[in-house]
Amino acid sequence: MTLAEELLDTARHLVNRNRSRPTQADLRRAVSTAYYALFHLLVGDAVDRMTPDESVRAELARAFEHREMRKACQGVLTPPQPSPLPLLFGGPVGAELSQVATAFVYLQDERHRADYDRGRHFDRADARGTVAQAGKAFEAWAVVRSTPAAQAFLALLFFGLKSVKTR
Amino acid sequence: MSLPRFLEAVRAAAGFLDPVVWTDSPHQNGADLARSLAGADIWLTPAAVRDFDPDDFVLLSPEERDRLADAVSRFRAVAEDVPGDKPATQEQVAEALPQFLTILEVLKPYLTGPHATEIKRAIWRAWSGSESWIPTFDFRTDVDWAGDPCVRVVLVLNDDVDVESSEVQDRLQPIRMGILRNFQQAKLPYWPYVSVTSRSEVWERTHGVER
Repeated sequence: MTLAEELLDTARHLVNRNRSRPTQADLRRAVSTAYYALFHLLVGDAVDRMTPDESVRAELARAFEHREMRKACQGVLTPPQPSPLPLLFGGPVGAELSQVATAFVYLQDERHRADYDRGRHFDRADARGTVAQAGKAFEAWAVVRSTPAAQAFLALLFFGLKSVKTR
Repeated sequence: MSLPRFLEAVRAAAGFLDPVVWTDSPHQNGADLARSLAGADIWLTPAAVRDFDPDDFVLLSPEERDRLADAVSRFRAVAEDVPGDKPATQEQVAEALPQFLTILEVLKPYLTGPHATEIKRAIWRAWSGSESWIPTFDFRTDVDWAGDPCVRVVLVLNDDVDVESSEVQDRLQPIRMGILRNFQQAKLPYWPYVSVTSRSEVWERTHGVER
């Protein structure tokens, strides 16, 4: 099992522990962990494609920036016009990549609220829905991860949207 | 009950108010207003608040929600006493008007906030057709963790909807994408963050007990 899969398992465990009366701590950790599950899924796949060298992969993984990854996902979902993204992706962004990008943007914001916003109350349905959304993003990624569009997506996550110049 | 329908009804009723009243002019006094509005009391109808349910307001503070509920209750009591075939009396107008203005004040972010109408419409269009399992939604503008403007959308699910199921997630995704697409088409300068909650959990938070 990969780190990303273990994290998703942990998120599912936390969100269902004390199912009828989960603590806010469990729900917050579940939401935060769900984000990191998706983060490591994408970063892991990206660095695996960049180099076979384990030590270099670890260095590369640290170079991913959460904010830039979010911007890249938002750019994929709402590309500025005119956009060269269809050229990179071989056409319009497909449903699976859209699902991954949507989940990433949402989970990242929820992760910040779970970790830092003490005034936020997490409902059970809210936290379970968030973890389930991460799970669906995993499934969607499994469908497209070997496609050229997924490779372009991973490159965008690493290099950032700024690397793609609009005409 | 549904928040968007309630907002539409209040907005429609408010359209019959003198715009001066809307703007809360300091040059008007209560007696003058009551006199001028007694003959145009179309806004004073139970229909204006028929769809109100305090549990629909997921994102309002408890204090504001209670204030709204109290004003709606008082407004409804007067409106239901107005005969269908006669205009309201000056006394009825004078009694109901402050309550209606309180309702409008609490609802200001929904009715007159920046892009309020376009935001609601964008969500509504994506939500429309899902009322059988998402009876209502709430929303408010905010900033996200990066400091960018956003709209927090909360879809309220019926209690028998299993949010963890793959099927429900498959049904939610087009709604999320629809909201995003509608925001983009309307050129709304916000990112929509769409979360969910359940009817019973809203009830628990509103009433402080488990249903």
